[in-house]
Amino acid sequence: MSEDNYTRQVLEGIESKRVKRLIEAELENHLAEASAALTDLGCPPEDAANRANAAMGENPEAVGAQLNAIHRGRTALRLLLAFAAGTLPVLSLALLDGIATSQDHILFAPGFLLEFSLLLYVSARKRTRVYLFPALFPAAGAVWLCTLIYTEAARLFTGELLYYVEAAFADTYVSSTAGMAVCGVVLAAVWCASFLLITALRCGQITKRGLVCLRVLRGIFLGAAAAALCLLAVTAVLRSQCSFLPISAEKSSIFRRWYLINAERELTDDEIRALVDELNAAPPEDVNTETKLRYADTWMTVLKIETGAGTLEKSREYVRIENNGCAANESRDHNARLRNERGDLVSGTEVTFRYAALYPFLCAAECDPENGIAAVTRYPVQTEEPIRLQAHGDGLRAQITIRIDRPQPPPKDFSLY
Amino acid sequence: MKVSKELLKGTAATLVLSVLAGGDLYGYGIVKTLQARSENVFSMNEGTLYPILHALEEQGCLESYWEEAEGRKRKYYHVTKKGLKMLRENKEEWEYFSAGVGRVLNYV
Repeated sequence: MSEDNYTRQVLEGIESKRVKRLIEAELENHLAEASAALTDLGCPPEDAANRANAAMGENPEAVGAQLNAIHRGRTALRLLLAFAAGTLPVLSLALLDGIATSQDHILFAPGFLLEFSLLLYVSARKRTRVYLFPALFPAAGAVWLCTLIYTEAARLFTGELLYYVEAAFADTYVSSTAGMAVCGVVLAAVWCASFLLITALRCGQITKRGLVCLRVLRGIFLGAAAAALCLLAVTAVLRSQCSFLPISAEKSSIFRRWYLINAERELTDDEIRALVDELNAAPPEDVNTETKLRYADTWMTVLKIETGAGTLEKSREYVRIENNGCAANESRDHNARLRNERGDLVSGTEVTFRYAALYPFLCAAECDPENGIAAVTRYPVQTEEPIRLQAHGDGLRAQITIRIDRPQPPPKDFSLY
Repeated sequence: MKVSKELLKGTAATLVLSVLAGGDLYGYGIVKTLQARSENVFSMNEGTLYPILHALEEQGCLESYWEEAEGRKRKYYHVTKKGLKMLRENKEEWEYFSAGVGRVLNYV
């Protein structure tokens, strides 16, 4: 049996072309090594090749069949479980709660991070038919995922949950866009590197250095998955502990910058007026000038309010800064849990309630481009018509939009102090 | 004395792991090291080594990489933590088993 024949007979039993190439190289290398060793001992080259072949054994078909069985594609149960672990909580939220899930970073980031990390880890380990799909999927979603992670971390540490430290970290929001971009690019690069290394590993072309890199990357992603789990747990605990509503005089000035919607009962016109007056009379003092500038023109849209069995308010705040013809926009999401003490909401009930104020004050900044803020003018918050919510099933569910616009246009021609 | 193939079959994976625990090696190197360490007691068909190696790699006990040495491109195998754990367990099992066999065979 010649070298070529032994290898060919082994390869005949293997289905996958990729595996064939891999094994062909390995066997030929082995036979060449064996032949060379025998030749070095003084054996004639042809005889050495025959003896090397003989040493391989007499049943290449059986070896081929065994290798084929080892490399045959199989259903990756762990892979499917990893998908389920990451996807089911999100789907259940979307289907059951009707939450605008694509906006809910708090829940998404750790779940998807965990999912993708598991996929990468499993796909690196196992030879499966679905290998390509999970490898490409995370690569495509990497940037998006990373922005979520960053946002989640920013939320956690800038005060939406831990609002006590909000003032200290308020300016983190300023750098959030840059942070997200950097984080996204870095992690996307890591994902792509992992993908390339895994592909090399799968094709039997990886080098020792590549293998070491892959081990490090695996460690990073497993660490990230663990961190995401911790983050999820911490978020869940904090969310269950914190309540942002209702506003009261006891709350700190920091807190006043947050939600002022009170869904527990309908506010009277007098109460609304008193609340707005109070807020305008005592605006938060904790915000620094930079923050004020960012809030120069603020309005807020409440996307959804649910009360009843569970209540969630989701809003988006828009900030527009104008400075002598130059304008900049910024927007961000807020999540708040409305305390639900209303026990009388049943199907068919119509409830009318008003928002008190969405923001304690609105202000227009007049700026000196060289020296910073020159003046900040505050405008009182205007209330709008009552909003009517319809009860559905066992709770109250409605899609409403509240918009507060600045009552007067911002001064275009500002004067410097 | 030649050792029966059946005896070798059950322990081949453990022997391969044991050789690789001493350092990364390629297929031909593994065969030669096995022969040398066993003082030629084990002379396995070299072709049968590859299904063992690939199965261990599939199980996550080994990792492989290509490296050029002595003008040849060789595929080296490296034992993972899982492989070392498996080796430890198999070794303990083997010692327990062989001690039992020894006691039975030497019973007078």
